[in-house]
Amino acid sequence: MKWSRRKFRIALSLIAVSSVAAFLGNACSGGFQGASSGANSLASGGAVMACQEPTFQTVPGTIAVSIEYGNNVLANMQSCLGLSNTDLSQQTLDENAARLPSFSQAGYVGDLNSAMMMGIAAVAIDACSDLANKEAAEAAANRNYFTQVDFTQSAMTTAAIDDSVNRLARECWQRTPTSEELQIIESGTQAMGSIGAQYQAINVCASVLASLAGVSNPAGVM
Amino acid sequence: MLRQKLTKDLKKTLTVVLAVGAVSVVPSTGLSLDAYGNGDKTGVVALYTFKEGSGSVVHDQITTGGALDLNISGTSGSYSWSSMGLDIDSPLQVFVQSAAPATKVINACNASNAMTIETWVVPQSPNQAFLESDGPVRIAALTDGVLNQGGIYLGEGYNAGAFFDLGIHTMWASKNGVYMEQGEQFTTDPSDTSIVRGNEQEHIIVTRDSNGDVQMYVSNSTGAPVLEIPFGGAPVPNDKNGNLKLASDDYLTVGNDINPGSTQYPTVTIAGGGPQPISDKQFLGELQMVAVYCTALTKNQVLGALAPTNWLTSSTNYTVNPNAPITQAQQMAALIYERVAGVKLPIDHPTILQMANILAANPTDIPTRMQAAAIAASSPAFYNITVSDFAKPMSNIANLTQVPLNDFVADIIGATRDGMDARQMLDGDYYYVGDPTKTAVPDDPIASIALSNNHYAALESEGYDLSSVLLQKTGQLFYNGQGALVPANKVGDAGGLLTTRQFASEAYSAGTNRRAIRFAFNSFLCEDITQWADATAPDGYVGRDVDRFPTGDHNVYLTTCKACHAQMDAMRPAFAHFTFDSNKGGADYLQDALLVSQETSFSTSNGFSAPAPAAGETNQDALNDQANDETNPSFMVQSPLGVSAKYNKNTYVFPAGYPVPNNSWVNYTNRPGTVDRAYFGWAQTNVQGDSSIAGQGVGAFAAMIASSQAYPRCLAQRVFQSVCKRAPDPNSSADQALLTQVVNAFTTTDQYKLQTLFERIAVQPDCLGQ
Repeated sequence: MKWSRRKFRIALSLIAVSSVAAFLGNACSGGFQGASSGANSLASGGAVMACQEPTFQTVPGTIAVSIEYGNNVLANMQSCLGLSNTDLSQQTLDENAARLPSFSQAGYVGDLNSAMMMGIAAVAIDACSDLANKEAAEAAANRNYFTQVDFTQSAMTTAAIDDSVNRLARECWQRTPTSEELQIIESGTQAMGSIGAQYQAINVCASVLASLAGVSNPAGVM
Repeated sequence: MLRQKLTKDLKKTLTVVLAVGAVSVVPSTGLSLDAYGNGDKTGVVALYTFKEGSGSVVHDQITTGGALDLNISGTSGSYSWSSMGLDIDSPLQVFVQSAAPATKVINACNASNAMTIETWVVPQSPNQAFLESDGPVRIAALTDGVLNQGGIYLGEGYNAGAFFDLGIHTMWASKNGVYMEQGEQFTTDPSDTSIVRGNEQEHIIVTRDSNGDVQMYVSNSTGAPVLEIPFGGAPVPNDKNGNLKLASDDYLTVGNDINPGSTQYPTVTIAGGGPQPISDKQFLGELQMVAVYCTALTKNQVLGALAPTNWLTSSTNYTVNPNAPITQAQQMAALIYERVAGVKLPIDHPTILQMANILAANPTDIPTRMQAAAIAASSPAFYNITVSDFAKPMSNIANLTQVPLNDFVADIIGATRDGMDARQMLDGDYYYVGDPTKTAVPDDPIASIALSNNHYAALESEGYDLSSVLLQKTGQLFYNGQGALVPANKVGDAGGLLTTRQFASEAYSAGTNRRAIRFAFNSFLCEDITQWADATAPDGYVGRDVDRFPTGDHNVYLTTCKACHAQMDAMRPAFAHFTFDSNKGGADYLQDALLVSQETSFSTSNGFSAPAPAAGETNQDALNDQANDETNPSFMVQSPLGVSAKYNKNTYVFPAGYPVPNNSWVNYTNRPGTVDRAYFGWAQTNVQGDSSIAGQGVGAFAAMIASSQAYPRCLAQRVFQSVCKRAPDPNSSADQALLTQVVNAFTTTDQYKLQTLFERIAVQPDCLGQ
C-alpha cells in the first residue's frame, strides 16, 4: 500500500505541475520578478501575471501581489479547505516539514521558483488526500467539495470534476474558474484513467491548490 | 546515618503525599492512570501498581490474556515495600521479571505496531545512571537481551545531564528485503535539570505510534504533564517505514535488565534462557505504577485540557454555495481577511459574510473597513501568523521570518493582544510565557526560558494558540549563573525587548556590544548605521580597540571609521553590564555583570590560555582579550568590576581611547542641523549643553527609542510591509503621506495600539490596490 501510494504520488505531482505550468501561460521565461503585479485585485478574474522589472516601484491603483511562504503554505491550504489539525495526517505534516526549506522566506513573488512549486504540489497532494479521506467518510450532502463524487467508483464523472473545481476555486481562489482553467484540470484528471475516483479527486484539489492562483496573495490573481 | 535515612524517608513521603495530592488537580487527561492504576484502562495490556506491600510477586492487574505476574529476585534488604510501591535501594541486587515471555504484550503490540509505557516512579537520584556502567537504568522494559532481536525500554540515563529515555529496537526491511535491526534512542533534554528531579514523584508517559513517531511526557513539579521535546532518535527514512517487532522471547522486566555474556555481574535464571547475568542498569528508587498499552495514546488523550487547540480553523462549519454570485463586498472582505490574518478563508465562510455585510453598506469608508478588519484581527490567525511574522524579522539580525518563536516575538504578540501601548514593549518591565494552565510544554523558568529557547519553540511547534495561551508576567528575570533568577530591576537593568533572551543572543554574544546599537536602531527605528553615521560627531567615546591610524593614515580613520564609531561607541555603554555567549556550555543566558559573579580563576580549565600582554597592556588587559573564550558558565569576566570585559579589550590598539567605566552613555545624533536629528525626532529630555542626550543603562536607552518620532513611524513601515506585501516607497508621495497620516492616528487617537495600526493600514486604498 505504501509503495503504491508513493508511485501514485509521483504521477500526481507531474499532473499537478503540468496544470500549474499551463496556468503560467504567458509568464516570463526568466521567472517572476518584483512585488507589484499591476493586477487589480477585485476586478481581476483571469490568470494574468504581468512581467515586471525586478524593482519595487509603486504603480498607483495596483495591488502588490505576494505568494504564500514558509509554514503559511500549509496553513493556507488547511484554512481554505476547512481542515482542522486533527484532519491532517502525519504524512502531510512530514511532507510539509521536508519541503519547508524550498519555500519562500517572506512571500516575495520573486522568490517563486520551480523547487518551491514542486514542494507546494507535494504538500497539496497530501492535504488534498486528507480532504478526500475526510469527505469520503461523510454523506455527499454534508460535503463541501466533493459533493458529486462517488468514491467507490474508478473515476469521477465530468460533472463531478467540474463541480469540485468550481467549489475549490471559489473557496481557495476566491473567484470562479475560467473555462480554460476548468478545461485544463478536467482533461488532466481524465487523463489519469480509471485509477479510482478518490485519486482523481485528490488531483482536482491539488491542481487548484498548487496553481499560481492558489498560492498568490490576493488569492486568484495570478 | 539513621537520621539521614529518616530524613530521606520523610522527604520522600512528604513529596509523595504532595505529589499525589497534586494528581487530583491535574486536568482530565483522558486515558492516563494515577499512581494507583486508577483511570480508564482502555488499551492497557499489563498493569502493575506495586501495592502488594510484601512478598516477592508483583501482580498484573490485567487478567485478560492471562496475568503476567513479575517475580522479584534479590538479596535480603536490597528492596522493600512501602505503602506506595516497591523500593529498590541497592545496585546489582534486584531483578524483577515476568515468569514467562510477555506473549500477550508481544502479540498485541506487534499487531498494532504501537505502544505506550506509563509509569509513576520516585527516582532516588537524578544522576544514578552516571554511576552505573551499562548506560541508562531500566524503569520498565521488554528486554531483548537473550535473542537480541527487538525490544523496548523506558529508562533514566545521564549524558552531561540526566534524562529519561525511550530505547527501541525495531526490525525494518532494507531495500533488498532483508530485515535488519535498528536501534533508536529518544531522550528528554539532558540540559534541563527540571525533568529528572530525584526524590520526587514523576509521572512518565512515552508513546510510539505506528508511524514510528515518539512522544515523551514527564510531569513537572506541580504534577501536570509536560510534553517534552524528544532529543536524538530522529527517525531516518527507513525507520519511518519500520515496524515495532518485539522478539518472541522478550520478558517484561522492571528496575533492571539482563546482560548476556557478561561474567561481571550476578546471574538470574531466565526461563528458556538459563542463568543470565543481570546488568548494571539497576533503577534505584521507588516503582509505584507501570502500565503497558498496545496503543499510542494521543496528545489529546494524555494532555486533556492542556492539549493544543485547533486555532487555525476554529470554525469549519460553512457551506459552499457554488451558484451564488461572489459580490465585490465578499471579495474585499476576503482580501482584507487574508491581508490581516495571513491566511485565506473560504469566501462562503460566516466570518467573510459577516465582514462583507459590514462593507456592503459603505465599501469606501475607512472606518467601515476598519470595522471589518477588526473582525479579521480578532481571529487567532492574526496573532499566530501576521503579528508573529511581523515580529520575527525584528528579532534577528538576518531579518528572517522563518525562525522559531522566541521571547522577543512572544512579547510583541502578547502586547498586541492585550492592547498595550507599543512604547511599553521597550520601556515596560514584563514578559510573556505560556500559561501553565493551558499548555504542556517545558516551562522551567531557568532551564527552558533563561538558559534555552525550549519553552517558546515548543509553544509554536506544538501548535498552541498564542492568542489565548500567552500569559503576561511582571518583572523580567535574569539568571545569576548560580541557580537563581533575580529581578532585572533589582539592578535597574530591565529594558523591555532589549533585555529579552532573544535580543541578547543576537546582540550581546561575543563581539563588543556595538552590534546591539546597530541592531536596536535597525529593528526599532528602521535606520541602519550606514544611514546615520556622521564623521562630524565628537569621537571622545571611541574605544581603545579602534585603530586611529588604519593603514598608517589617520585620515582614513577620520573619514570612514569615525563616522560609525563616534555615534555607536558613545551609546554602547548602555549595554555595559551584558554579555551572552552561546559557545559556553550552559552559559546560553543573558549575563549581567551586576548579578553574575566576577571570574577570578583565570585557569586553562576555564578556557584561558596564559595571558600574553601586548605592548602597553597589563595582564588584566590580556585576560579581557580572552573574555569570549571563557568557558565557566557560572562566572563572567569583568573589567572593571560591573562591566563586561569585552568593552575593554584590545587596549593596545589605541591606549588613549575611551575606557568604558560604567553604563553611562551619550547620544550624539541629536545635534542641531543634522539629518539624524530630524529623522529620529528624539524627545527632548536629558539634553546636555552640546545638544547630546545622556543616559544611564539599558532602561534609559530603551525609553529614549520608545519616545522618539522614528519609532512609531518604523512600526508603521513594518506593519505596512506586513499587510500590504511591499515596502512603502520612499519616493512615493502617496505612500509617505499615508505613513504620516497613520502614524498621527497611531500616536494620538489609537494610543500606540499595534492591533489598530494593522487594521488601519490594511484597509487603505494604497494597500488594497485601489
